[in-house]
Amino acid sequence: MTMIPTDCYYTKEHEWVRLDGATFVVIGITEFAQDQLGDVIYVNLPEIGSEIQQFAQMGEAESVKAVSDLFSPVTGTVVEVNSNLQDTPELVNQDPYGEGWMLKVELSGTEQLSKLLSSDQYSDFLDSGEH
Amino acid sequence: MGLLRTYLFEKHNILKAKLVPFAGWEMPIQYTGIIDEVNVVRKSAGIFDVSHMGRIEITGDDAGKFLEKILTVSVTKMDIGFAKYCFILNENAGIIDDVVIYRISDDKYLMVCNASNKDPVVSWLSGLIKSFNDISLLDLTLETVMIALQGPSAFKILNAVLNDSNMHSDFLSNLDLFEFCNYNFTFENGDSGYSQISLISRTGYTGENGFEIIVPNGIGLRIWDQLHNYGALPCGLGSRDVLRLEAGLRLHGNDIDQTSNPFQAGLKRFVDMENSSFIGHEELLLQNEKGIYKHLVGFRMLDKAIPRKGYLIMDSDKNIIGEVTSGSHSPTLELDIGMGYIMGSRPRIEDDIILHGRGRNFNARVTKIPFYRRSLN
Repeated sequence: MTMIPTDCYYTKEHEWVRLDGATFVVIGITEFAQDQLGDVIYVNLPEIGSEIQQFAQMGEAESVKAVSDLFSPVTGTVVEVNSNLQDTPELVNQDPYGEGWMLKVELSGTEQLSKLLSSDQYSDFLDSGEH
Repeated sequence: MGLLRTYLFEKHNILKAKLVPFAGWEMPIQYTGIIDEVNVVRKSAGIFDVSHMGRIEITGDDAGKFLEKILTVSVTKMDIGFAKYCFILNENAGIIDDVVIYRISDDKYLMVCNASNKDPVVSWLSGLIKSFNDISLLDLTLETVMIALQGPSAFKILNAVLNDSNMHSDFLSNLDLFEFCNYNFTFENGDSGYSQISLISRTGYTGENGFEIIVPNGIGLRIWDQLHNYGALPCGLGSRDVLRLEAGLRLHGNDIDQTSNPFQAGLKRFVDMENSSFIGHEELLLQNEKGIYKHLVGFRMLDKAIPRKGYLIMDSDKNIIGEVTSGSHSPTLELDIGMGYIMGSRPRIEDDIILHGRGRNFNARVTKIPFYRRSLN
């Protein structure tokens, strides 16, 4: 069973979003995503201050096996980047919803969260096998 | 068509392996993780189910003569009990497959080929066998299990497994590289099996010391479990690919194929040019005279990126000069490494090159192959 915390929103590209205050979110990739990737070696993320667009490419995660695009689950401004991932990218594998977080983003508006999946919807999506 | 499964398939499920389709087989790519498994093989020992590889027995008075037409070595000059790495070439000296040929007796040989190439190899052999008398080809792939035990603890572990069941093991410490021993495993509980072939060879595809064991299906599982009980950890094809790249070993389908020849791949030492009867010999002579127009080189990344098959290789002036054929992160060296062909004259070690992939350029430097060499103590 893959872990899907109920306090997050999700995308079909396997990113998670957790509200941090009213207008900030923390984002990362799901347990399912890290398991599919295998050992993560590099995480390329946008810099602090960059504008990211919901569902547009925002970076890459490179594992031993493959390189995968990361898609932004929200539109907003990057206010923090998890710099620990530079030297310890394995945090993404070990603790995808915690220490393996990727970005903190100031949302351009909260209505966009309605375009994301709830934990139940994401769980159904994984079960459907459409991923 | 469904995927083939090795005789150890249920064991891989029990061990919670991640399974993937590979060359028509459903194979474990990893158990705990690729990096973990690479470290296990470099520091202690791992076991790999490599039963998907083709195992073809060639028997007959003319078997040696036949194989000297097929292979780039002189098999009739090989001592019985030894194996050699070599190539099957087409008329243009393109590499149909790279194989290990075992001399079992005067008139009996075993060929181990890549799983992905077994069908083309068998049809190549079958097509050429007609001009020889009384040679039989026997495909033993489905009736035998092949396990690779690799790593610095391999000897200790195999020795313990054999001693545990009161099987003889004196030969093990004297086994040279590429030497093998026909071996009849008989476990005390009566586990045994029958096949034409049952052997232990000092071979492998990881750059570590180790053995490959080919046994009848009936005792494959018992041997796997015993090796595991004595401390060898299950490893998948993912780590095997990283290990072989670190050791500079070429992979057919990536680094060598029918569009490259052994000279271009830097593998001249596995071609015995004195055996003038093999197919491709003339073309190799010709190529040698004309000069080799492409070279397989190793490189390490200076930028943080893992080289991937198909990335372009450029010189420092950004002229495209070649293409990456294999690449990986190397956990052992803590570097990103790869191999690829470069057109024209052979580049010098430490030359700077640029890789281009996914719309970006990455700096890299030509590096000697193998990247990793085990210490001999």
